[in-house]
Amino acid sequence: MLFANTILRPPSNSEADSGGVSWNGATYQILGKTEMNETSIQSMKMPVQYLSCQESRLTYADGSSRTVYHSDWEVPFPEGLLIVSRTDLRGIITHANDAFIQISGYRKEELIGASHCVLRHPDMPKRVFGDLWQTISAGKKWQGYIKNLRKDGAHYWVFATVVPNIRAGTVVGYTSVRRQPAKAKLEAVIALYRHWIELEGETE
Amino acid sequence: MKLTIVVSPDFGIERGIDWVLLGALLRKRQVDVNVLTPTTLAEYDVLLAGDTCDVVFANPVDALTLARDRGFIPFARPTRVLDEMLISCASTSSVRTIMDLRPRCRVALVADRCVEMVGMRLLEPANLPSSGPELLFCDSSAAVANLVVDGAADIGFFGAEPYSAMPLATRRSLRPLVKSDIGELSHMLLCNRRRVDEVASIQSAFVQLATIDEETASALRLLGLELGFSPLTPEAAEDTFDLVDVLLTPAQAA
Repeated sequence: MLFANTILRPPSNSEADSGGVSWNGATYQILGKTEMNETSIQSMKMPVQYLSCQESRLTYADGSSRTVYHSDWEVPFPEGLLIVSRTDLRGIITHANDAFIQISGYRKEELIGASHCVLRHPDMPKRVFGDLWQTISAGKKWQGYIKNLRKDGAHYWVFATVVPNIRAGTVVGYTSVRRQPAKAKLEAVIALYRHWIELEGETE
Repeated sequence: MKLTIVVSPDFGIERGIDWVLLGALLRKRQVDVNVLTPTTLAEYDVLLAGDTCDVVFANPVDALTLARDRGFIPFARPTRVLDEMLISCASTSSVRTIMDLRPRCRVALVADRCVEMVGMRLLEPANLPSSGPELLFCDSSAAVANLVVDGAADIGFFGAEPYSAMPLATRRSLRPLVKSDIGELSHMLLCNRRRVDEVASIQSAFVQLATIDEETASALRLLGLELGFSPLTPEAAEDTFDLVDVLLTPAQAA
């Protein structure tokens, strides 16, 4: 028995860009929530991992919030690639390299102008991003492990380094470079983040 | 206009005569060029320390130091020529991925700070100890290949272009484990700040090279710079330097 929190409906042409959950270049509409067995999932001819996604509500530091859909499906970080992005001082993406587009599942035009929060995964403790912003706002370099949410609800782990872009003595933006993390270290990181999430849940 | 140009050994070591040819063609453009092609990193560093050069053709790591510490002004870069590298083991090696590397593995490499930087970052997923691998510096990519094939080194770091230029037999005796696909790093031309008033005219001389005549285009092809040079804005150069700054920093977070 597989449990699917959210049922997705394949798109019609008229609905292609009307929101929902994206997979393989198409946008699927959220139809409802129920339990499904393996046979019924296969009958929809969609990958199991995209049907058995969960819904979470994320609230950001600025008070805004957003509903995201995420699965347990992990996309491995491709060897040799580096994800490079730049943002303005508010975290709005101004540059995304090809690797970022490939791994995140977003189109370039969707990333440019979007907040970096679009990649925020519900399994990431708020304190990690609090520490990141505190560090880079002080003009310092930040490093850490991050679980990023793909557009299709899958995720990928990165080792991220963020540096302030200092021009003529003033911070004008930030460069973020994400590289393949050491798997041996991820186990401890996942346990630590889970603990932090629990602590955050207790204080909310 | 009289210029002394220093070419980084990682780009000029096997192309000294081709750079001299390019210099001769620049002279036709009323740019009196003296091209220096040091064959070792030590010789290159001495030339740069002496401050006799007017223009440097440097990899992005050296360019970062020249620009941010010495005030050199980046003004052009090769068009669509990126600095990528790859890590190879011997074709007979039992190593299948970098995860198979033993903690104190031996890495053969040429003295190229950009290739070394990217290679070390690509090794990080293998979670090697902080003391890092043992580095065995060689004079050429061929020497790196020999150490790897002979088993004196477990893996070799190669610039992607020098690797592809090696004989097929040599490449067949190697097996690439991982190739960088950064797509953002390239060599660049930088001007000594004492020539700051002439940067625009120096930039113009280099950027126009590809369109002068077939002879010049041929010289550029010999250098692996088929499309010549493109202007590089200060902001684009700074973006590259921020990226290099990140890549120079090993992963340290727990």
